[in-house]
Amino acid sequence: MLRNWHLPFVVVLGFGLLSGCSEPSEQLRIGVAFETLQTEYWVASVEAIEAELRRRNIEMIEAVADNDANRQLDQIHILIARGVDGIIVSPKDSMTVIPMIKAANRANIPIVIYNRPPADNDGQSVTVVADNYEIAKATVEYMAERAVETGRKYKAMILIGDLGDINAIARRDGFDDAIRPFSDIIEVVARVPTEWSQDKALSGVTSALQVNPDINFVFASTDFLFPPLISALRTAGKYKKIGEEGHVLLGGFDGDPLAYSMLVERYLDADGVQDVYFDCAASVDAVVRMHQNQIVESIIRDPGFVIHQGNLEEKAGQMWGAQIARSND
Amino acid sequence: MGPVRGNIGHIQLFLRDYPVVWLSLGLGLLVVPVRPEILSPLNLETLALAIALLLVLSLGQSFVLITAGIDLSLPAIMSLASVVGASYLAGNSDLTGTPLSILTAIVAMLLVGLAIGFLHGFSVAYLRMPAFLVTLASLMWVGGIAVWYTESVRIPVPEGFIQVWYGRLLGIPVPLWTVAILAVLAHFILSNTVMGRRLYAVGHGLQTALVSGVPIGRTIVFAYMTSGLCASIAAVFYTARLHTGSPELVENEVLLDCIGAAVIGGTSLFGGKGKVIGILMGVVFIALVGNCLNMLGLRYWHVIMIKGGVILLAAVLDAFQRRWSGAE
Repeated sequence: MLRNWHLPFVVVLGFGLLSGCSEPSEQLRIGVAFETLQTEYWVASVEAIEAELRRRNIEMIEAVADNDANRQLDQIHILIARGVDGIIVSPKDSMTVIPMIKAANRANIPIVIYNRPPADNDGQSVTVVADNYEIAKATVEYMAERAVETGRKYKAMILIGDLGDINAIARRDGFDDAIRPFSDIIEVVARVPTEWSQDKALSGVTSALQVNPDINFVFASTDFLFPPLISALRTAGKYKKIGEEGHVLLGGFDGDPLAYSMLVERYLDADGVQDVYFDCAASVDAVVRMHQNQIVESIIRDPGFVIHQGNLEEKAGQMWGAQIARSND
Repeated sequence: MGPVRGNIGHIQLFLRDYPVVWLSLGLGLLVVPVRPEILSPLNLETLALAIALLLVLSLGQSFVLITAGIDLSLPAIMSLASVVGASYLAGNSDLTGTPLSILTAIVAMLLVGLAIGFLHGFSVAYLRMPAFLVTLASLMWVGGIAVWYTESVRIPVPEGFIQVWYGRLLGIPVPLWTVAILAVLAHFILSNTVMGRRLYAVGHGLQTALVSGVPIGRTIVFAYMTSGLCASIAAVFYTARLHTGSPELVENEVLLDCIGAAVIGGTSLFGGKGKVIGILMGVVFIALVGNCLNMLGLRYWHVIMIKGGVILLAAVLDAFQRRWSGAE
């Protein structure tokens, strides 16, 4: 098979390929390998890294693995073969990034881990990560304090992320530790595993609301899960604005454009925000300094912040999702 | 002159039968001037290992395709085998980390693939269930067991197991030796054994095979068990490579790659046709496309668009070729 058509096909394919290429240059080249661009958070991150690299006159070589850790490891090897001066990688999880760190170390190329810290290993890397535990805890504490003010009892649900992701575990732990002191008025009745999947979130939340129709306190471990959450709440007749009868206390994590809109429209009570611009600038700065053989601390923490109805005007300027939402208006 | 002419004749026949070789050469020649790093030892080794991984899966898949079946469960089998092996290694057994424990873990992983393959073969051959439905369902329930078993938590594996991927023999990575032996074995089975002839016979038509005395049930079970076994072998490599047993070891896109490689290499989706050398050529092409496009810094969706387009084209040509040969 595949007879008689191969020559024109090679020409067409080659033209397509060559049109996407650029000549090698003398400027620094940094490989940016992301596990996914599935959510607005990751897209905003890549764009912020690209902007920071451009500002420093550094070429960016991008690779996206579409949720496949094996493919991402291949891409790291290819970046190394291309002779990049540094790598910023956002891995799928804390384990599969270890062979990537080792591969970069073997090639003596500095590597920065963005957003998801690696498990314990003997490799050399720098991690830039939001303080997921503290941000989630502060967000849920704010929600719990609002619950106390109402003088009512609450049934709570958490949408948990992929437990292979250390950030999902930190957010879940932050939720649990924030709720514990309020156990007299808030009872956790549903823990929905989502693996960061909207489909799984929708089916899980729908089932949980059928089993526990009186759920009135919900924390989503990522804003990416708001669309299925909203859909399920609407179906159950529970998607109400703050102050309306039947409002479900609602919190999220990330700070994406949808969360900002929900805050403005008074559907959302609080959102934990990762400071994308800080994280991306810190990642680029770290990889450049490592390339210059400077000493860089192994973990750079983004303290993040909680945005809520009480500080919306004040904090919106720091919220990456607010900036995207406003630029889209 | 005779033997020389004979060799040239063989090469001409080979290039005529497998024009995908031209494609691969053409692609390489186009990319090398732009990205000479593609010929760097590191990249060539990366490419060779990518070929090895895909070849294992494609060989297993081809055994099923030759019988006019299909196995869509490979990612799930790989995930379950991965977490079974890793959780055994992570156990508190006194053997943990010893060569014996590593060998036992590998055997357990292979048994997972063989067992699921047997279920598939039995369902298709004896319960007359469509292969598509059986293996698609397994993609879900087997994958679900892997997630349930681990609660999505990744399991680290010991250094000794990691050497299954990173180890070298005579300077060549162990997986390349293993896959080369597998490929030779698969070629031998398909070309030189009664089982090989039965596989083709079943793929050509069940009625004819039945009349010819082929034990159809056993042949189909063998094909699916081979596919499951190959998926498990791939799981051993992936788990060692990523240092981790994972319930989400690979994305389902790997199915497109391994089926596509087989089809591009001349294995028919309608059964009865396929050779190891062709499958190898298809695998080389698919791996080369991915490597070249990544080398060129093209975005991921460009890569999958081009790969998907090539595979679709191959499938269309396969269908046309069948129609033409039927008309003749």
